[in-house]
Amino acid sequence: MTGQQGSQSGLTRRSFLKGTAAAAGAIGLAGAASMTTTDGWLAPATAHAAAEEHKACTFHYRHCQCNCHLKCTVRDGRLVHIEPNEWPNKRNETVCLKGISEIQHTYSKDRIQTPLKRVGERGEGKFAAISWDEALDTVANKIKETQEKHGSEAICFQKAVDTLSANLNKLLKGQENPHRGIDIGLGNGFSPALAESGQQGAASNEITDWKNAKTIINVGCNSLETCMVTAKYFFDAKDAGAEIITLDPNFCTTAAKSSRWIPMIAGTDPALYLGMTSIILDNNWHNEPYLKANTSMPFLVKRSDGSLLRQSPTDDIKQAGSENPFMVYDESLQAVVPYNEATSPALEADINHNGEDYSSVFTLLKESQKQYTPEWAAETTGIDKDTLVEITDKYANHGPSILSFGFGGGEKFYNADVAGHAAVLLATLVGSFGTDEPGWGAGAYVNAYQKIFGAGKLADWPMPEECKASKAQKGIDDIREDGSNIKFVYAQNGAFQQVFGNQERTDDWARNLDFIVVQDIWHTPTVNYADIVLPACSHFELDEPTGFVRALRGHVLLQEKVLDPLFESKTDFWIEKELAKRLGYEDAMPQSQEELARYQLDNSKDKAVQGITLDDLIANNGVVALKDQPEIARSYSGQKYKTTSGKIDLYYENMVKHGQALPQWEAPNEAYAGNPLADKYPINLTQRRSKYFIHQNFMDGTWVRQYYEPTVEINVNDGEVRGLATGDMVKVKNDRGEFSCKCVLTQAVRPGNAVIVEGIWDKYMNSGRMQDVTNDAVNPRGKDLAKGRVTPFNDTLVEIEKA
Amino acid sequence: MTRMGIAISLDRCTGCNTCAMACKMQNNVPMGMAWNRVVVEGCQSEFEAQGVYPDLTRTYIPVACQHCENPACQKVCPTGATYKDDKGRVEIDYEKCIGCRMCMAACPYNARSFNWEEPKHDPDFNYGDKDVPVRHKGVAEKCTLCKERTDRDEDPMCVRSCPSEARIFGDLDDPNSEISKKVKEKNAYMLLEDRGTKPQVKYYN
Amino acid sequence: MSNLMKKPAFIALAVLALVGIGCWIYQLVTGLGITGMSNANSWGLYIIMFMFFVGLSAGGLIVASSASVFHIKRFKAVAMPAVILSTACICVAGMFVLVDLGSIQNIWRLLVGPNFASPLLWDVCVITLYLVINILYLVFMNSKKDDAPRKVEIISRFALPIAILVHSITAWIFGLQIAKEGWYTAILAPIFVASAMDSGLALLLCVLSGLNKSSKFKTDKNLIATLAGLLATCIAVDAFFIGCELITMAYPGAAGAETLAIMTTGSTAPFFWIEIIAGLVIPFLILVFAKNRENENLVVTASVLVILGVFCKRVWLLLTAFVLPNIEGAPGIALGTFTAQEGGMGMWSLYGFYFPTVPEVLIAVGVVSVGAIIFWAIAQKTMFANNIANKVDSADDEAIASQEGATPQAV
Repeated sequence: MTGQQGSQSGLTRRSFLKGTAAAAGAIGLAGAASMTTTDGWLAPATAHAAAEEHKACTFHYRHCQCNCHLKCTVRDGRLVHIEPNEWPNKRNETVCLKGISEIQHTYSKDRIQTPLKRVGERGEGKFAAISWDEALDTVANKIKETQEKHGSEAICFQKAVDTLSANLNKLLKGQENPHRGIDIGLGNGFSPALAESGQQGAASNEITDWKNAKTIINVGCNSLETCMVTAKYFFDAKDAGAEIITLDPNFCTTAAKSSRWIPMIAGTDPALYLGMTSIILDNNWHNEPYLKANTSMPFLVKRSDGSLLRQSPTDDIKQAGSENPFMVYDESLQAVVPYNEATSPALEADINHNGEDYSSVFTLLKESQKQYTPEWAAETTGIDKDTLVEITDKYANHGPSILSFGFGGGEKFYNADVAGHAAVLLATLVGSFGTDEPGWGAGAYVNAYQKIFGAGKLADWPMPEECKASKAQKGIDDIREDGSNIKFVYAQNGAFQQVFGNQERTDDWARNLDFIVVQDIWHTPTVNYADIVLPACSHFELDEPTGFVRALRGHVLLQEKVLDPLFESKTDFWIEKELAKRLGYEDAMPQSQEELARYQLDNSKDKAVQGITLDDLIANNGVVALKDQPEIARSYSGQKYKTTSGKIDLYYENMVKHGQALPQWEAPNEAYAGNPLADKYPINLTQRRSKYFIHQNFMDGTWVRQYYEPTVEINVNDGEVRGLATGDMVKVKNDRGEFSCKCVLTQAVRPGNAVIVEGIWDKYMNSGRMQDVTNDAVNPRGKDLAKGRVTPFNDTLVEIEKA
Repeated sequence: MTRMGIAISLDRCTGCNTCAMACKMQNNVPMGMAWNRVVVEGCQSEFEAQGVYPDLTRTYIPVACQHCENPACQKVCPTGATYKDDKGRVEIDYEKCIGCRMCMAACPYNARSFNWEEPKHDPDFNYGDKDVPVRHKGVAEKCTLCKERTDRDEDPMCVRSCPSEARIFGDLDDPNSEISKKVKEKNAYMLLEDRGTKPQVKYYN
Repeated sequence: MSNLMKKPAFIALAVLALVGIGCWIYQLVTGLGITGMSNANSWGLYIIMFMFFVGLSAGGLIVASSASVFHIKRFKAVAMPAVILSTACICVAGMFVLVDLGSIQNIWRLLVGPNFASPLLWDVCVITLYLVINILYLVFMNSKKDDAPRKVEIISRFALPIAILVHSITAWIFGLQIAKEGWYTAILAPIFVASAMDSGLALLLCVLSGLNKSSKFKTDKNLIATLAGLLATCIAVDAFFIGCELITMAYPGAAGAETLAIMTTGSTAPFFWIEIIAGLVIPFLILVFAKNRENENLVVTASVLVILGVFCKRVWLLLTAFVLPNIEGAPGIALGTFTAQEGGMGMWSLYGFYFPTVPEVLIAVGVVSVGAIIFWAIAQKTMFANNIANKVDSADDEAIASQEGATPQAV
């Protein structure tokens, strides 16, 4: 009689009010389903009968970087309750909806229940159940065969963050995650300046330090969704008076919760940083003493070839500055001197030395920045010039300041390394690093939480000499290229959709591989490529009382047995051990996870770990604090950098041949203004991470799917022009391929953009696959970047139409 | 007297639904039902925002039973199945519920759910706190302020699990409790205050 | 009774009743999920029918008891069918409450732990009382004892206020709820009483006409015309009250206007307009003319329209209030239904929506059939068995009047 159903129903309120009763007729008989059981009919509502109940702890999947440690209750052998475990410091007691939903997700219908072998075409998804012996024998034989015929480097091991394999990569002796292409874009540009250890652009201080900052510039990072358990530190900072300014094309959750949101054009992050840099230089807002003392800014560069001047000429640009110092112009001595001897190095220098013209890095920067005027930056980024000046003023002059970015957004564009380089330059100009002054810092704060701070080094299990990973093939950028020589792929947890754009190319490549093994907990789309599928246990299942240990987030964390292995799944450890047996390394491997854990702890050389035993962990809820951890961790204390010069090396000598020794604007590969392709495909499709998933993980969770269904989000105007309404099924397409799912028209997405949550499983799409359309263009600069080329997933143009 | 309540910072709420999920888990809430939900104010989907790009706002409002001081649901319940307990919580005695749904019509917050059929759980067993009563078809249910937990002096599960620490649980009758101080300091407001139900769930910015 | 079993109409009713009972058992076993109701629209056809039949019942009894209370002797002619009708209708209303209950096995809790603050409890009490009065009324009217007319008179004095009260309290189940913009109004009880009067009278007129045609029970043409005149008056009063409510909703342009918009242009609009046009305007225009009132077919037409209109009013009154939740926003309300249990985003709704299912309709039809059987059975036992009074109606009227020692009055 009245109405409509579903929040995605596509009715605006107005149209709803005008709707008539006819609309709802279809609902009529839906309720008249078959008779259900009579359980409960006249049954009293009582509490659970006295049941066996015990608690155990484990860590959760950590690809979101959060490392929650969970206290789990098991009743009658079933996982019934999950809450944050007790930690020595309450601030660490975290969980999010994903952790809690493990009550369901652990028992998901999409768990792989038995080992499988392919019976259809590769990718078709037709399998037959086989025994573990058959599966493991087949895999082991194929490994040996590949090693003999093509060498170990023909094996590619796609290791997943959320798999608990310890030495499988060494057993396979293959390439590990070669040319991975994700989470490395910004780091490629950011990390070399600081020799940041993870080389992924990890921040220089913890997010807990945000509360000490006054100005926080957050660029394209939706941390409130993607690294949810750090949300409290975000708000603590806001409460303490920090102004959090989020720059993002779209009104994401973090933008909505920031003090201020400044919309910008996607993929123009380098222009934002370069523009801010120009404004700082134009106004002399840079920290001159800091730059002189702690950076490569005074270093002299030979103008003719861009090389840095050393005391003795060398071709080895990696030679340590302590051995062969970089030269600077000393103002008081009026002479070119080694940087470690200079008393007053000139920041700006234009000199002729031994018949060659030299300029300081800073002088070159100023020259190079002339083209990147505030007006240019404003036009390129779509941010009003006055706003740019205002936020730059705040950033430079109302510190302490934070520059924050993440692993989505600009990270997945072709020009990500330029953005990273420009970001570290910008942060350095205002003196962000190594000052020990609370509240200064820059980088990806989600990563710092686990990779840099509070990470203890556990001892590695000693493997036989010959068991080590092969080097990735030089000269190629993508293992799908012909020269990669990969014949055998051992993939874990959704690897294929995770790292490759342009999926049709992945299909072609996979079809021609000799053999594919997928070890996964759930039947992710990658599983369908497999010849043999190995079902792994979740983190809640173990075949012995204790499992893995981790030393992350300032603590050693223990995995205890919560459940016995479900179905016929086996632990990652067991699979590894059984393969080792078949590969002739049975005696070389630990016989139990307990043996491994004890070895890793008892033999650790890390002072933070030493003295912590497995028994301590068992006695303390599986959580023991690493020793001597600071309340708030900050890197580069005392201005110590592990860079070539020992200072912040902003001039990338290895990038001279690419014209990127100092960051130079480079437009995105597809999604740039004026691209003729935009006539055909005018919409920039970006993928975002969401609070509901960790990449592909949880897509099958029915508790999570209460809140999300595959939806492409587009601006209201773009939708209306195309005759679309919220709830319509749409086709998203370009020359590479197409997929279709529902759409929602929203003001929260920038006109000209479309957004979709990444990692959606193929089977939940109406048709096609998300990565069918994504760009996989290779930036030629990639070969010279520390982590190779980035996969420019977000640098993708599409058209959207009614399906 | 004790008057338990929750104060929620709407500034801190990021709409992550962890509270909703935690509630579902703790209280054995079946599929298709939610005792606790996070409403994106005035939006048709969570991907939307109010306003026109780029002048936008988005407010997440977690809504569950408001544990009203003047509970409309309790007043109309013909059998007294819904009652206000000595700790100021609005509770349901499922054995007294005749399933008339008068309470659902009376609640201005749509906080109540009815077991239209035998509850369906995924996974197919009773998860959650062992002390939480199992409900069957034909009775109304809703947030109990985690009666079982708060009786053990633990925070309600939504408070315990909120990643933003947006929630404070405590006794509104104790002027020195954190919640009372926060409510006073922030001049917290209540949902649909004009209805006079006097909710013990408070909201502030 | 035995001869009844052979009548096709009765067999049809019995079959419908049995089908309804079967569906009800199915509902008991499966749950109310077999209906179209959900958490977003938690009352549906059963409660609509409950309101509707309380009204139909009260109307009949008000006419019957007015006859005694106000000594409107001409009405006494139809007192018997009116009271039987009233009894049957209140049974139907009560049954609708029972079939709407999710846990009928707990109903004894009403006796051991009643909450006297609950309008629903008031209604249970007053409906029970009302049923008792109806039964007593019937017993006394059929009694051959000497003091029976006196007892009829006494009971009628209780019956009239109880009849009005039963409908007012039914209105208060809705009208006292601050949760629902569309219900919360002081005029709801007067509207319910007015609706009860017009729908009850209209039903009585239809039944009288039907009885006339079946020659079981003859009602004087003039009386029908008089009752039709009264019906016209009731329609006017009903329309006036509704008008008062509508303008109060519309004028401030606030929340009430939103509700009004749903009623007038939204999903419940068809019911609203049917009620206004077919249920109020047309029958009034028919019945306002004396000549039409003398035409039994027109009177029946108008009466059917009035009944239809009041039914539509119950629909829009109940459902409109569920459409817009007070707190609006995604994802909406978790529906809690079978469909919602299947998971996914389909478990939510931004708005209330409702459409009755087949079993739900069959149960409703079954309940009404049971009511018809009750009417038939009582009529069989009373009117058709010893309806001497009706065959010599005017004489009987005078007899009663003289026994009461009052002067016969003209209407």
